[in-house]
Amino acid sequence: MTIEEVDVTIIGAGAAGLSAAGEAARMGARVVLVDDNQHPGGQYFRQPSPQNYKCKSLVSEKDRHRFVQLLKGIDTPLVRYCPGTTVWDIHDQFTIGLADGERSRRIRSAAIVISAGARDHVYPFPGWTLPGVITAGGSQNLIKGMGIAPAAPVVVAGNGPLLLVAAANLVSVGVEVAAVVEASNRPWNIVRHAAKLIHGGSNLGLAIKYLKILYKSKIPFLRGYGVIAAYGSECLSAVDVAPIIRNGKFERSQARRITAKTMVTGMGLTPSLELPRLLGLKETSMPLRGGPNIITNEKMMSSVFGVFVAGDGSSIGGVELSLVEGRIAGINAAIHAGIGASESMQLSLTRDLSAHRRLCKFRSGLERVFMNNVDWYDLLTPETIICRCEDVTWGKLHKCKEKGLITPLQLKAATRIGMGRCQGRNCLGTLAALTSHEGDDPTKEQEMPRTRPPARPILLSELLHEQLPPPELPDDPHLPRQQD
Amino acid sequence: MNANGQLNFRFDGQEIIGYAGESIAAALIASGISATRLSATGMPRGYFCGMGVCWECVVRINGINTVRACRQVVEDGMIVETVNAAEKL
Amino acid sequence: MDLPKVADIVIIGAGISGLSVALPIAKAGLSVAVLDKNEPWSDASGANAGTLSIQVKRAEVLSLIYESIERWKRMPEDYGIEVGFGQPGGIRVATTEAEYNQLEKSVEVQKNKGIDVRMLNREAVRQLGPWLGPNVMAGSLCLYDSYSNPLVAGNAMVAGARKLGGVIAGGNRVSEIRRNAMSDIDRFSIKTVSGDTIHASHVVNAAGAWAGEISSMLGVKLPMEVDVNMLTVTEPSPPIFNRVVTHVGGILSLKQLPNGTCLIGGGWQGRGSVSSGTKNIDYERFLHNMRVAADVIPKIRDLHILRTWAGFEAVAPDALPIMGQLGEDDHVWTLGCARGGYSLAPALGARLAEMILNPSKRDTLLQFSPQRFAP
Ligand SMILES: Cc1cc2nc3c(=O)[nH]c(=O)nc-3n(C[C@H](O)[C@H](O)[C@H](O)COP(=O)(O)OP(=O)(O)OC[C@H]3O[C@@H](n4cnc5c(N)ncnc54)[C@H](O)[C@@H]3O)c2cc1C
Ligand SMILES: Cc1cc2nc3c(=O)[nH]c(=O)nc-3n(C[C@H](O)[C@H](O)[C@H](O)COP(=O)(O)OP(=O)(O)OC[C@H]3O[C@@H](n4cnc5c(N)ncnc54)[C@H](O)[C@@H]3O)c2cc1C
Ligand code: FES
Repeated sequence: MTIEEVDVTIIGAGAAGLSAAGEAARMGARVVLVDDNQHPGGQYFRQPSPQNYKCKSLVSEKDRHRFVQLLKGIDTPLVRYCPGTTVWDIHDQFTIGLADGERSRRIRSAAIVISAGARDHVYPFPGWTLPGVITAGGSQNLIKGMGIAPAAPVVVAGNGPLLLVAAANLVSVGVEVAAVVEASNRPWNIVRHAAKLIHGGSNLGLAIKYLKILYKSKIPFLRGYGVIAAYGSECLSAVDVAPIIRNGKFERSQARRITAKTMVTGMGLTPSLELPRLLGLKETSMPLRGGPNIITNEKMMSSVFGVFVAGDGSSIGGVELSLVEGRIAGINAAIHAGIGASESMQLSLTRDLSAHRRLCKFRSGLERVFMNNVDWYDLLTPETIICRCEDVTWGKLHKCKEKGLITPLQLKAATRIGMGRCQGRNCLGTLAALTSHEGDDPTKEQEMPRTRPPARPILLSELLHEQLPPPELPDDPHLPRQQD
Repeated sequence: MNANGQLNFRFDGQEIIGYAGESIAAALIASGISATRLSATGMPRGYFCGMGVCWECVVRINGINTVRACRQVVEDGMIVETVNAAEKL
Repeated sequence: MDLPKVADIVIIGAGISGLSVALPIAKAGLSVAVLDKNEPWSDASGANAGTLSIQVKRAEVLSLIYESIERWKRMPEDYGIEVGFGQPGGIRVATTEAEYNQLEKSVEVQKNKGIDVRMLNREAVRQLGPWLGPNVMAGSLCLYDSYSNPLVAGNAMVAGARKLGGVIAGGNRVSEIRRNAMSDIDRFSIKTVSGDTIHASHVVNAAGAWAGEISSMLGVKLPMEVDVNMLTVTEPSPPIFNRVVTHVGGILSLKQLPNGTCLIGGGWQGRGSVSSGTKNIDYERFLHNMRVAADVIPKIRDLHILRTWAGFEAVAPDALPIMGQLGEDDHVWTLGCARGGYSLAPALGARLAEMILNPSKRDTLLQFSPQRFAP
């Protein structure tokens, strides 16, 4: 029954969340930092955990040092760090429902920072459900986090900077990479947007390092190509790659086959929006930046007063930008909770804001390097799975269309698309894109299934122990209930 | 579990070697196993996102609840089983 | 969708109530148009648990619920549609002495009304449901308790009505209903917010939680309240239990569908109101709902919860259906507001269709008539 009260709740202990927590605590705020991973660091500052770490470590000295600093920042009595804990509900704006595997509880705070990160965006293509087809993030997690190499040979294919990072890391740990396949083919954009890219700072150095690794490895690097299908019976055995022509379609007549046991893929990252959507935060569509983004102001505050969103969970920007946004959000959340900012905090906020502007320039340059007009939906065949949980194929959705079922809600009811364990994370984006022009009125915004708690699946047993007031049971269960 | 963290668990009856701190998925991939689930229409599936969002790696442990193999750390003596979504009531 | 200019009968609301009237009327060969402000089936009927339980009904509707379940079952024959119907039978459990006494009483009442239901003591109930928890001390069994999967039924009923020539038109919010004196065929002009007008000789108010609003347009005050019911669905699991399970005192409905998912409901109240349009989960009541469920069937505690939601349920002050002629005009009708309206609608809808089509049937089921609230 007791709801813990703190100044700031921070959701996600990645680059953004750790720096937000550190700054808020430096201001003197009482902070709860919740993360559903067992270890802090999020997707970037991954800690190698197993004793049997087989790969060579990929963490640079600089990052090791930065991570230590971030952890120092939260090592104060003001910050309560809750690992292995999922935020599954937010209601009354600032009451947060947590579950830690054993039990649930609630926290109420004056401000919330959502720094829940992003996930790989993968467009469906024939064979993408075969075991052995994994995301760039999945590959990074295996080698960086677990020290385990995926089965070779590996084809790395898709679009965006993370893919090159994943490829370079695979090469670095000695995995046989058969080919790197990148959809965009505008190397001249590097020159054209050099003025923006120059703001990248250390990002730039890293990019050059990764490109060098790939160049030296002499691995075939296909630009302007994409994987059009993956094959295998029990697991992946080969992929077909084909060039992408002017109109963004694939030139299937020039397809060729590459043997592969693993395909590492991804077409960029997309923000994790379940918590913002529970709160109804305003979004905007940023096609080059992972699709739906959360609208924030210069304080990193969203459209809901007191709710801050930072890092890749708001808009895809990479680790440097996430660190800066986390700091900005942390300071402003503490201010929102009623804590005054000292002069030195003001100064560091000003510094962060100018760093933010620089990094945003770099980001927009980088986005243009990887820009493309690929029509990924050109790859769909009637057999292609759209919803992985319920095995709903493109053909099945098409059949529904013939029966007059065209809107996302109708298709959901008819096929169960989006109703599986992933709660629609794998497929609802695709469904939205595929149905956006099908309705009676194409300009009308279509109604998508609403995000409802739990934000992530929780075990029913987690809900059995929290202390609650006894339920008010109606005298006559049939009569209308009293509403609050 | 021995001194260098090696431990044993079972996947669909097969003895698998893992190491302390490894996820179930990582240990299985290290043993050459990538398919850990049967989909609604009976297709093999496995590790995909590696970060707990896609639920393709879902397995049943110790005959009780399901977990994401990419998130759950292996334990000595753990019984891990394929989840068969095609099995109808 | 383009609206026709005229229809014999215009029904406002494409939920289970509206479609249960539309199907028999379309089958009888009359032209019918069902208008809905949103997509058809997107309110209570699309959000509900689909439990077709006899044992939890008020005594006053027992004579109808039997018929209604038969109609649910016969939808494939009657209308050629598949509505996700299953009849596993239901167990209603008691966990305290007081609940036990109450259960005995209601079994008596049900038996007197001719329902085939029987008491099960602790051993007997456990024999039928070895998956029941230790706190279950008795139960009653009715083999006619059923379910229909609302996700399947919605698209099917809409398609079925269309096949019979009915027009089911979403995106048409009715904003005004005018009575045209003198005229027989276009007695009513029904206007939508987008400016369309459709003429009809009968109007049926099946607007669920908004039935009061439609009633006001027709100049009649309809007393009703709106509950905000919560519902929860779990991940799919191998078979755990095989009956529709309800509770005497604890507010619970529980079932496992053929795809393995479990639906947990019963009528715990969420938060929100029709006027604000919000319908949200109430944290504490949601937890209570899960606890009652886990108390009755302990094994479901090992399942992941995938989703919870809430929906509006319109209820008359006496919790009985409101069905029949609305006000003075014998061309204006209403149907809805029944507690457990999803189970009862097929029977109520068929009876209302009869009344509309056949004046000699109009003095039946007067106990449900909106006239009972007339001042
Ligand atoms: C797999 C992967 C690899 C990447 N590699 C690089 C790279 O090499 N270089 C680079 O510049 N960028 C890389 N990026 C991008 C980089 O990770 C991000 O820019 C940076 O980590 C973003 O930090 P963040 O704090 O916003 O999110 P994250 O680091 O993702 O942290 C978010 C945290 O929130 C937690 N969380 C989310 N929802 C909830 C919830 N409901 N309850 C509790 N906890 C929750 C997550 O588990 C996670 O720990 C990578 C991204 C991914 C996905
Ligand atoms: C969560 C939940 C669980 C439930 N579980 C069960 C159960 O297990 N068993 C059971 O028997 N009952 C159950 N019920 C009750 C049952 O769902 C309802 O009684 C029944 O669905 C009501 O159907 P209806 O057609 O009258 O209303 P609705 O389905 O709400 O349909 C009314 C329609 O009218 C439309 N409308 C409103 N105003 C206008 C307008 N101005 N113009 C045009 N259209 C308009 C609405 O958009 C709506 O689609 C449950 C209800 C809820 C909310
Ligand atoms: S691989 Fe996606 S959840 Fe485990």
